[in-house]
Amino acid sequence: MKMVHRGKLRLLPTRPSDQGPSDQPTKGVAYYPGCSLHSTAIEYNLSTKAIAERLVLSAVEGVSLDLAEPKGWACCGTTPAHSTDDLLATIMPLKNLKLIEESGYSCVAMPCPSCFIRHRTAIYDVRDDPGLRGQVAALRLGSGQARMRQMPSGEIEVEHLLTTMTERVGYDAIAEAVTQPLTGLKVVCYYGCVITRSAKITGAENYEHPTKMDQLVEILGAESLHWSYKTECCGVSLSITQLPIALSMSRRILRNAEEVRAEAIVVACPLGHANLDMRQEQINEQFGEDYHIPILYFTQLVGLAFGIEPRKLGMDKHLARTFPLLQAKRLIAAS
Amino acid sequence: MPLTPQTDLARYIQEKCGENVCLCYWCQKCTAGCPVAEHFDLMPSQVLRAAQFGQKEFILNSKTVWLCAACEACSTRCRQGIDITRVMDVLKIMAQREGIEPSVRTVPMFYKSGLRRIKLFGRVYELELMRNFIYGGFSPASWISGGCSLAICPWP
Repeated sequence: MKMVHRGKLRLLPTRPSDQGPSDQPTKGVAYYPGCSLHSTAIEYNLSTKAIAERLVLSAVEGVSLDLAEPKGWACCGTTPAHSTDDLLATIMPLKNLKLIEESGYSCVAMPCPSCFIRHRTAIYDVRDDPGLRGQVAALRLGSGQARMRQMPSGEIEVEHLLTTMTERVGYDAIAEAVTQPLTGLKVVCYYGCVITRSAKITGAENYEHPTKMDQLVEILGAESLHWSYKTECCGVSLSITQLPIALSMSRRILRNAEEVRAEAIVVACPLGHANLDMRQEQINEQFGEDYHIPILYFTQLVGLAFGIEPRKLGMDKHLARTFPLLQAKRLIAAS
Repeated sequence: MPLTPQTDLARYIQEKCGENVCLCYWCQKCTAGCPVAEHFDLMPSQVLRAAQFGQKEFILNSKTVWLCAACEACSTRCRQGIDITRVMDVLKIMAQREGIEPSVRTVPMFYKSGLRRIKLFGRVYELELMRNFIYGGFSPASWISGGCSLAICPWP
């Protein structure tokens, strides 16, 4: 109920046709938010849009982050699809990619690592496996619909939002837009499993010890601490099916963050956020711990440094309270 | 051990995902790095070993196939380049197609219900997902405790 109250859950399901304004194709980057960002990770969506807006306004020449959401995107299939039907797991992302390509984009940013890896995997599989390509092409999509003859050309680039921010927008442009450095804030960066793994699909160089988010955080003025659980698994969907296992996995991450005296964990994954933030109370109950670590999305941290009002970044939507930390760091006025 | 698949299971895995389980020489790096290994009954390396010998029932009746979180740690670290997460996916799909009674029942139930909702709505229905998330998922007790969202979205 707490989550419905905080506007994190909608009673009615969102459907592909419920999409908001149809964004006109520009030279910008397409934005595929994924299912989570429309409900449980709404603060991720809010903060992304807020910083994108800010970056467009203060755009240095040629650098902007103009995220446009293509109308009618559908789910990527995520774990249920790739664990039950390999063909389905390939088709669902391909349909989205085709839609994005038809809307006139050549690049898409995905904030959710699960969507990111599913889309990247689909492209990788289809490119490498002529048999699968034939199977996909021969399939009828729904009754009376055209066959998927024209597959996405494969030239479309799928990026994680973190990569878009650090490489496309660039550290310099971000540093320029910082108005309120987060001096004195000590955080750890949690990348989660699949932003970097497996390297053959994501193309990540430092897949065991990624540093992009750390560099970003340092640019914002905060201190990024060293810790051991950067890419450790939080339990993902085991949190729904086998709760005790997921709790023990998330607890290890929180414990290490506490051990290095981090004041917040910065994440880039909606499910990682759900497991670390919403499960914190349960972890405290079950293991007799006393964790109160705010779990922030990296976009929220960027937004804070840009001087955007915390409520606009969805800071009030977390279950582990964030305002005491912000007040202590004088990032918002003490109430 | 020959390096080409000698058993039906190993051949099937190779045909389905292109991974050759016979390349595994049991260094156990996958097991050492697996974050869920302590909850498994078969270690990832044991799954690969059993697959080399074609022990299908032995693998498909294990908890490991269902509990794998697909975090890709093993695939990334495998010295022989075997994408173990893929192999696990193939085994999961195989178990579901062959109707083998799953040793962790909630996992395939989650897959089925998730896919059903995606088919119905085009996207994940997060209210229902969260009902399962909060009330511990797929037990009869969670039906009652999660009754409020159940009224909106009858199960299944």
